[in-house]
Amino acid sequence: MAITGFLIHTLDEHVQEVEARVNEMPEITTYGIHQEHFIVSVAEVPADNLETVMNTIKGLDGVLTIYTTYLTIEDEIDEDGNLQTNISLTDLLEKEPKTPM
Amino acid sequence: MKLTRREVLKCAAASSAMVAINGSFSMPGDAMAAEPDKWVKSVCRFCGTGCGVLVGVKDGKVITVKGDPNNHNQGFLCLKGALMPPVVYAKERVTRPYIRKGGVLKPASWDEAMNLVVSKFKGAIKEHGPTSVAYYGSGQCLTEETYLASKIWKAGLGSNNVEGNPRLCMASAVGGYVTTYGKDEPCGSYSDIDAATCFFIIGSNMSECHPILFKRVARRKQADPNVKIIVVDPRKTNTARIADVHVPFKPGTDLALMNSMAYVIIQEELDDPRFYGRYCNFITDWKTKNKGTFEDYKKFLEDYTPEKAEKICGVPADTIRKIAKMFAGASATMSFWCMGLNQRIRGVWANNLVSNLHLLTGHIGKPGATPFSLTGQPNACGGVRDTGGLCHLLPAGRLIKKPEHRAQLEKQWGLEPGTIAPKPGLHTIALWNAFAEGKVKAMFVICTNPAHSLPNVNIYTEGMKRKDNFMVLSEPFMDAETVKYCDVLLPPAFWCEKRGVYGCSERRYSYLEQSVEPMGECKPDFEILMDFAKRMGVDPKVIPFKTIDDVWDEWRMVSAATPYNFSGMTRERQKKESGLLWPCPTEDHPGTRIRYVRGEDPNIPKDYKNKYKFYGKPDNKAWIILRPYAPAAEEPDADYPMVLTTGRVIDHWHTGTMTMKVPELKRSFPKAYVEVNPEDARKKGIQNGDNVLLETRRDKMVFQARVTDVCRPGLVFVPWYDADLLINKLTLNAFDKGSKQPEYKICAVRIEKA
Repeated sequence: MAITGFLIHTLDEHVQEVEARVNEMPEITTYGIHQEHFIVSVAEVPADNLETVMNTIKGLDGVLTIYTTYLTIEDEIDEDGNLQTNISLTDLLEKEPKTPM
Repeated sequence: MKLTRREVLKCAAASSAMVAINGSFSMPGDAMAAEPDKWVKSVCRFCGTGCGVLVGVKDGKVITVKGDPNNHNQGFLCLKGALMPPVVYAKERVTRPYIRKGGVLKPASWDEAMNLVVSKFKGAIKEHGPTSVAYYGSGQCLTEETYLASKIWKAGLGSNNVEGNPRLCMASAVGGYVTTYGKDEPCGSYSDIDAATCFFIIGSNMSECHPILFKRVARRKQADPNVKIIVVDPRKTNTARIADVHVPFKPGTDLALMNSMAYVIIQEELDDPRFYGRYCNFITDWKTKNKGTFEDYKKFLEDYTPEKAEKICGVPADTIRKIAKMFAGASATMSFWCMGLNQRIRGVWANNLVSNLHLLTGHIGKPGATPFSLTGQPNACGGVRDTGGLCHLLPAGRLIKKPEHRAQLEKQWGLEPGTIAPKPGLHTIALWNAFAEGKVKAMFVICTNPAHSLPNVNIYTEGMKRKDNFMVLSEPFMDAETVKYCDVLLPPAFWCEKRGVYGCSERRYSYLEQSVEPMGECKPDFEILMDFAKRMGVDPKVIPFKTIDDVWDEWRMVSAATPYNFSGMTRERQKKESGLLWPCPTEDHPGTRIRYVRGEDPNIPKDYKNKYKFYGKPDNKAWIILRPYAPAAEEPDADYPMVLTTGRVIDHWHTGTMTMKVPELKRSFPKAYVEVNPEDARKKGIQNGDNVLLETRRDKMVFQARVTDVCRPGLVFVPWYDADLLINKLTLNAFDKGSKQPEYKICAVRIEKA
């Protein structure tokens, strides 16, 4: 299971609301609001579910984009260096901002 | 506090996100202790943005990647960069040499493979002369690797047939810079983004192709809502969606559009005569280099009034006026462009016209004001452009055709005068044509996938099948399309398995430290090239290198007497710094963010009389070149009434040999598709998901339709990453006469529901 660090970039006026909604998602841990529009977050999601979770975040009102900063696949590599599971991550960069900037 | 393993990893992940926004995160002690064994400073393997990364290594394996907070990307990465670890350990890695026997690649020893390679190259030179052998490299090779390969061929083998895939992606940008300023590479840097008040983005889908730079632009816009963004693109891309004005012009007519913008700027008296009067020449005739006047330029632009341009471009005259005023009226305008301008038969001209707008308005050489070409590969600039890894170039902007430049290099390299052949080699399309015709007999291909990436590729793959030519390929992945055609396959060390330098779009050179040992029998391309040169009997004076660091030191020496000047970028300094921007003449020089400006550019004396000095030109003046609109090589007609364009999608990079290794990336874009405008779809009875036959004069192929308003009517788009649906079988190999870059972006096509 991959662990991914990422930032949720929101419109300033939506940041509290987005944080509250993300905190309702059991797969995500948030680490506070920063600079009024970034929510520091970590996803810990079963491989086949992460895409759905990320799409849910992207679909929240006020979310502009998501930036990855970290990915670990330590658990996915065996001693021979072979991948044991599929890394299941969709693109975390928002494609269509829901609200004009 | 005792943390579980997963909690430790979560802390590390949160920490990296926090660092990316310059915040601090107090890692619990247990988490600190359980970090990877080491973090190794490196650079992302993908696009030309050149994001710094830190590679996490545990027990000799790459287990994680995070953004380098000290590099320009400030710790941010796009998903492709973050997903490098699984690519390193992909099951398709080539880990030993192979020789094709009976049509099948069979395992071989290094000795067997290299002996065969050398016998073929020696045989070709003996029978057909040195121009029968060639090198075809990549903007993904390390700087040292390209410098070495170019030197081996040009000074060691006597062949100037040295080319690489950067010819396909940024040669027109080189041509634009050289013709306008006399020197290649951008004047400004990424830091200009933070000061710009207007962004003019033309022929670039930054949000998908350079997402971290796009993030910086978006962040700038969010910080100051008065910042304006103009996106000029026939497609309503994700980049266009944040624009204040999106201009979906008729493909191929941007030259008329930019000339019309210049017309409006002058008419509205938004030009800066004080700047161009002092620092620019007006070139009225490119062939004769005739210097005209501002009045000549004004007269030339009368053919491009907004009303006249509207008829050519399909853009309302008022929109042209609006964006011209935004461009000129801003306090600092920064332009970005990429393949939409470069991959054109008028690519150099289009590049010139962007610079014309900046020179006309004085939006240059000030923080936030600069023209800036984006680059597609991690080391096209630093590896190929700067080191002279093309058929007409020598290192640091020198030209093969100039006797004094050849003499300089021969002296610096300690070689006999006349060692370097005076005639430039074959450019990429000419080279592959010659290979297909059996005129070039032996080709050494490193780190690129020409059987997928060349335009009108059927011609070239047929040529690769010939029995009377020979291709050796150094390629990390067994499923790359070109592997099907090579005669010998060599296993190179991949990215984090070797060390060297990448130079990104902003003239920033960053050091990639080796993170882990190469897999299997893989070797760094430096070692492969040195082995090849020694076996070929190349003069030891040409290859006096024990390690790749020796190559870097020679490159510093060779650059020192030129405006490039990497002298201050010692290996020791590179290991400490997260990238330096050249020119960097001394070890205490911080690097150069703005060129051609006194006090910023170390090539200009501090007591120079003027603020600007465009020292690439004899009279130190930049050129505003009068470039007329001219149509594409293959315009739509009755038989092929639509325009086909190609490009990237965010989840895949180039030919997909890396990104298609990541299951989720593959799933999100499993195969290429065709974007069709709803209006065109309605006329053809095409529904979303239908199979659609695309046919050009070169080939035809069926794609699944995505009916969307991204493309303007009359235009269809197909991404080019998919090896199973090779769109380059349909594209055109016509090329710019100046830059020799092919026109991938426009060809005529007809579509029918399949």
